Amino acid sequence: MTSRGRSLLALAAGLLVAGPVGAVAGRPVDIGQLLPGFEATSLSGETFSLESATREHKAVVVLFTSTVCPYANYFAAHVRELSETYGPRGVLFVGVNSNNWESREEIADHARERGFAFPIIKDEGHVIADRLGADRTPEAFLVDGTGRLRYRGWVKSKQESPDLQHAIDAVLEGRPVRRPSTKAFGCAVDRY
Amino acid sequence: MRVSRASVFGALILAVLVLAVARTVSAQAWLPPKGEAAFSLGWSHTWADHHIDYTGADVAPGDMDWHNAVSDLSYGITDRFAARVNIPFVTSKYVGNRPHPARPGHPPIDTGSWNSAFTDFRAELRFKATTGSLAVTPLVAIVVPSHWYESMGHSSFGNNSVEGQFGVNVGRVLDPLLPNAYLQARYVYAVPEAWAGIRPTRSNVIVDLGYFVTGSLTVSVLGAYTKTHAGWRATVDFPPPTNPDFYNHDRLTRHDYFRFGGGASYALTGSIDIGLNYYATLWARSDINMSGIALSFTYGFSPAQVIKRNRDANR
Repeated sequence: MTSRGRSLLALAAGLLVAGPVGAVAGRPVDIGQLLPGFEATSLSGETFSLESATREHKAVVVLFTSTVCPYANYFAAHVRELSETYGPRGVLFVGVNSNNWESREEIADHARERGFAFPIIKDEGHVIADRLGADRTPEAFLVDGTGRLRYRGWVKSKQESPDLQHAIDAVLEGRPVRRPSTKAFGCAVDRY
Repeated sequence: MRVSRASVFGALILAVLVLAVARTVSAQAWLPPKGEAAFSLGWSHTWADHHIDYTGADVAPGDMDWHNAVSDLSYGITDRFAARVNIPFVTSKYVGNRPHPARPGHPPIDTGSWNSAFTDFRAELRFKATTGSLAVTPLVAIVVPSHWYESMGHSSFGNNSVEGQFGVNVGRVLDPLLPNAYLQARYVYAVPEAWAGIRPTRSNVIVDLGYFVTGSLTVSVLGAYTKTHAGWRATVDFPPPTNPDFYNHDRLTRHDYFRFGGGASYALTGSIDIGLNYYATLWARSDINMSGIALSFTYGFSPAQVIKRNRDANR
């Protein structure tokens, strides 16, 4: 694809992004604030709307991921387990791949290999990443049923502290999240 | 120049390097995943003004300073197998009135001026033996001098000795007992080259208790204990300067010590961490009362992602 083609695609994808209430694109959202909504077509062809998903679920995990990032792949099994464990309890996972150079085919193959049964979005033009301020893969954004951001950061720490899981538990149990913000590490979301 | 037995045991800086390097790449019990690399640059300043003999008595031969720059590269070969190499560059100085005599045929290093040298390559392999919340990670390592360098002197750079190391790291997050904290310990049994028919093997234990203050800031306390199992007590067992083995006395000294410190690391970005640590000697026999401060900079990256991005961008 030519650079002009990529730009047009990015523009088209950008038009799909629904305007959030009170959110400013590109600026990190504070914990407790509404996460900017977005709407996109998943790799399986279904329309995904964050706004609708939060209305229909107790919590939604937006996970920025990559097919080649070592940490994203290392924690993939844990992510799959979380999605399988918490899916029946009303938590929806959605994977977002914003790296410009990863194709839809590669992302779909990778999701099959890793056993991801949740929606995966190819974020053309990294519009969703820009809107949410995502910086790393893997990086998780946990929103509750009202669309408010309850956790942002790593899936697990380098010492494998399962902080995303702790945050999900807290949201489901109506408790404050003990550590709502962590510094996601891994590969940069590649916007080149 | 007067050379008394009380003046002739020099500094062993290996322990300092262990502390400095250990803090440049955190979480030794946990490995980088397959394909993840980390490059670290560490700098430490270490100083001492006392020797401590085998009875615990203080001797004050002068001021010793070391500046160590350590470059360190680690890589995850698989999710459970990682390699690591590093080499320190040491600049040191001794100022005092009890310098070591020069080794025959070599210039003295305890001259009051700075001396510099690359010291020992160290290569390490770690294997993560468990998959649960308790990380148990055995290791093997080899230390090989990069070249011949002076190993005797108050301001010596190191032991100039080949050494094998065998050990294990154990680590666990302490949640729910102590939320946001982790504990890791490292035991290493070192088998150095024998000199004068003596192989001063030693055991080294490092315990690291860390606490995540925020998602970016981690503070930790660190204790390091070393027990040398063979060798000469300082200074009663040292041979006289007329004995050729006198020039091996620093690498053959039976160093025992406990050092304690603390520090902090901060994630500047998702791939860049900086760390600052301080440590001091709380107890020692046949060793020196060294204290030190260490600064580290670590950059993590994925070679595979860089290659794929560049390859696809050029299509």
